[in-house]
Amino acid sequence: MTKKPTSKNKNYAKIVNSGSGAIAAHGSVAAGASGIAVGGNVKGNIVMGGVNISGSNISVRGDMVGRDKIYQPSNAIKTYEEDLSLSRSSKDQTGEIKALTNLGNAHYILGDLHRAVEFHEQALSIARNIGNKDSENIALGNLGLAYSLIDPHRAIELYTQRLMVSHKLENKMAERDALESLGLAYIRLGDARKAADFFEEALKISRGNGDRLREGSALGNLGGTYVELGKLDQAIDLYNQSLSIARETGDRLGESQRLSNLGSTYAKLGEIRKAIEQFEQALAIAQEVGDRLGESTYINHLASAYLLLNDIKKAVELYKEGLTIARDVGDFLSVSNHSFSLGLIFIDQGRWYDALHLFEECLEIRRKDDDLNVRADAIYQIAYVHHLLRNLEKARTYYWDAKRLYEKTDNPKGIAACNLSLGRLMIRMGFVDDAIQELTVAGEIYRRLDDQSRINTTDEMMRLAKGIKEKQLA
Amino acid sequence: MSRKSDQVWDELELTYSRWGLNEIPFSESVTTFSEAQLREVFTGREDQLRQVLNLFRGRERKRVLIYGGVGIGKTALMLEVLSVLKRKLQDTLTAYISLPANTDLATAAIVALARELKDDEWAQHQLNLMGLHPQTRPVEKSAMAKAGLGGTGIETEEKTVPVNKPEIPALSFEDLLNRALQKYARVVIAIDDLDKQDPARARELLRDAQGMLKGRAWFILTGHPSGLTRDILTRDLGLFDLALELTQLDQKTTNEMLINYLNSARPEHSRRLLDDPLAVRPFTPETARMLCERSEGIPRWLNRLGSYVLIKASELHTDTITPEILQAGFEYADQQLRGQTGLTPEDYYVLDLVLEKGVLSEAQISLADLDRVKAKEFNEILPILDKLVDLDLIRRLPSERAMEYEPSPLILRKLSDADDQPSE
Ligand SMILES: Nc1ncnc2c1ncn2[C@@H]1O[C@H](COP(=O)(O)OP(=O)(O)OP(=O)(O)O)[C@@H](O)[C@H]1O
Ligand SMILES: [Mg+2]
Repeated sequence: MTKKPTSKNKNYAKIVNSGSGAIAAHGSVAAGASGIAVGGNVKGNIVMGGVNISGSNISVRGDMVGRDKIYQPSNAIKTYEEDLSLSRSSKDQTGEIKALTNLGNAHYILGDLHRAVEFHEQALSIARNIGNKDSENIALGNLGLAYSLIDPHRAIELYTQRLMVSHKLENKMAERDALESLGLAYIRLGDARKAADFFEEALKISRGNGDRLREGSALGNLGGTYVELGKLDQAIDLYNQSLSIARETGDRLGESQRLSNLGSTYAKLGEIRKAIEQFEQALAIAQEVGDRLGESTYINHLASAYLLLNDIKKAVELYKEGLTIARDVGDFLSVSNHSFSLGLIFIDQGRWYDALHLFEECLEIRRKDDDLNVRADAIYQIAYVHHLLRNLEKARTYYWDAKRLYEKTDNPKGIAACNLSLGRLMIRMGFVDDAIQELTVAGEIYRRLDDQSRINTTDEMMRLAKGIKEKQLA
Repeated sequence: MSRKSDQVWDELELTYSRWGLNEIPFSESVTTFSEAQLREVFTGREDQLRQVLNLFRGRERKRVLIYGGVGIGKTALMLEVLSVLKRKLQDTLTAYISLPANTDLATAAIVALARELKDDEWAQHQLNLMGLHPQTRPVEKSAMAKAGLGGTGIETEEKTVPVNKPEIPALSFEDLLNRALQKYARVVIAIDDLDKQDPARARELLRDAQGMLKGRAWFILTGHPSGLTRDILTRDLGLFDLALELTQLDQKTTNEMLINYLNSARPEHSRRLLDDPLAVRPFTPETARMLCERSEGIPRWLNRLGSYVLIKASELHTDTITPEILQAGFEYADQQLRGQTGLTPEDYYVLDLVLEKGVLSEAQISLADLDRVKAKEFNEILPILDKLVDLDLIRRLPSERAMEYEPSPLILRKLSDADDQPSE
């Protein structure tokens, strides 16, 4: 359900930049390829979570216990609404809380986070009114989850409250859930160190009461934070531990996800063949247990891995296969991710119109999503293809749109990519002053990010712009 | 009851006869004119006519692009050219079509050409295959403007989309063209409204049609001066032998156009010469000038405003359009434009935003602004902006730095708005 805002996809860009002349000359290609990242799930009223690590096309997939048990939320909403009015008319406040919670969760699953927040807020305030601590506790967790993408700081506040309530109630399970949620929230904010602390605490609790299943997921989450911290060997160790727990407890889904996480980590270490092995195992399990969602995700990972091996043909094949499955099962998240990845390859192959159509499909889906960052990624790519097609005006409009969304999500890499591209575009369109303005901002951001290769590109463009300007003045 | 209605009719009749007019001559769309009517009202653009017609002195086939803003007179010029060719060159076949949505250029060209080859059974068969029936050309449609007092709302040009497109349109077109060229020395295909929808899509269409465009037919295309034509001019110059930009008419020509329109509705014997002060009746020379100024040399605006002002004046049973009456007419135009059918709440939100901002720019608009119109991207509101432009509620500024829109001068901004609008 949740996706971690991702930034520039380094692995892919490498390939793209080594591609055809026109693209190589363009320099920066992707403002951000969104890695697949699935995590955070609702199981009953208990909040669960997974870690999403991305930054490469191959990402670590969170533990999603009970993902297969997702019911059909749109159908369920009707029933819950009836429950709600029934409990309201009979003044049954506990029932009301339950209905509100269910409604909130259903909307969360459907991706309507603002509606989810509304319902959970209501549940929270009733729980507090009638002094039901347990319900308050649950509502805090759900509300935090709903906020996690909209406003991570608010989510942390709520989780912290939950942690304190649970502690007071001596509800160890809830305490551990709160700790895990906090860990996830800090991951999302990019503070892996802090996240690791919370996960360690959660792990202790799980070990304390012999909950092997949750111990496994905590280990997995911890592994994810270590990836984030760049401690890849330790991460592999942790993933292996959680993998054997999954095998021991017969948790097939968990097993496949951890294999996939292992694969992603190997990919980060540059051990692509080994990564492929893991993904293939994960894929086999997904196919065996009929986990179509997992199937399309792992195929996507495999495709990205083959891309890293420069086996474009195999990658395209896999992406197409993944796209078909994802469209088939109505897994829009994966459709958008597959089409995005395939679009990048098509750009590289000079199949610009094909790429454009895929990115447009991708954007169509992402427009329905609350995650503005991945939406901006799609918009940026559309702009870029138009730029290549020399639909300059179109490109300009899309760059502006992407920039506004990146600004909203505080994504400096995205913003700078837009500034740089707009600079390049404005030079072409003959608006040198505007170009200089854009390039100045891009340069500042890249210097702050210490991104040497982009600094060079920006400086080069700047020299070009200033050269033109001097000629104009002379 | 019916007596009363008759009375109303007679009163109107009287007003119009005092003005010396049979009807309201204005129309928002050229396609409602017959060829003869167009010839009567067509004004100016001599330079452009000369350039295009000159090409036809030669034998070598050419491609012409006519481009300019909304309502500037692209279709009118195109049809005028075709009508001259038809009259003067017996050996030339002309075909006109307004590009239907979701149709490639070759298919459009087939439809246009097949409709002209009325005696050619094979051509008619092609039309049938596409689910289209042989029709007369839009230009020859009976003039809807004759409906007289109506005049409100937009007349959308009829656009038929072929149901079954030929599999390889370019080849079918070749066949059809060859048949036509057995009878005619020259075939001119005029495809109007090339980028009515999306400039990028139009580029794709042009790219796909390169082969056909470089073939044996003459082509005249029209488009808007957006990214499309810009890029064509700078890059694909080879595709067009002549690219004509239509710009606003000067005041003198606009005034002349007004007189031509009015004369076209006068009985033969009472037509006035241009320098006759009574030529602008029921306008006075002063209000005629004011009307022309307000139209800013854009023919469609003159048509719209002229029509609304006459309707208002006839309601008021006035003999002469004084500045006050003119003002009332402008207000009526404002009301009518805002109240046009087919405007959704979203359209109004966007219109409001433009009215409030004064100038709405893709570079300046904020997410908060977009939020108000339930969008997160400027791109999402572009179709609405296009629609509002088409309805003459807003207009696009000529800037190439960014897409910028402002309220059209046909809309009177509320005083309170005008006050707190910093003029840019
Ligand atoms: N040169 C002209 N003389 C007289 N009337 C004209 C002339 N040019 C345009 N008009 C009138 O102005 C109105 C708008 O013109 P036209 O439809 O040709 O504009 P356009 O540029 O094709 O608009 P669009 O962009 O909507 O296709 C029509 O009623 C037309 O008859
Ligand atoms: Mg037209």
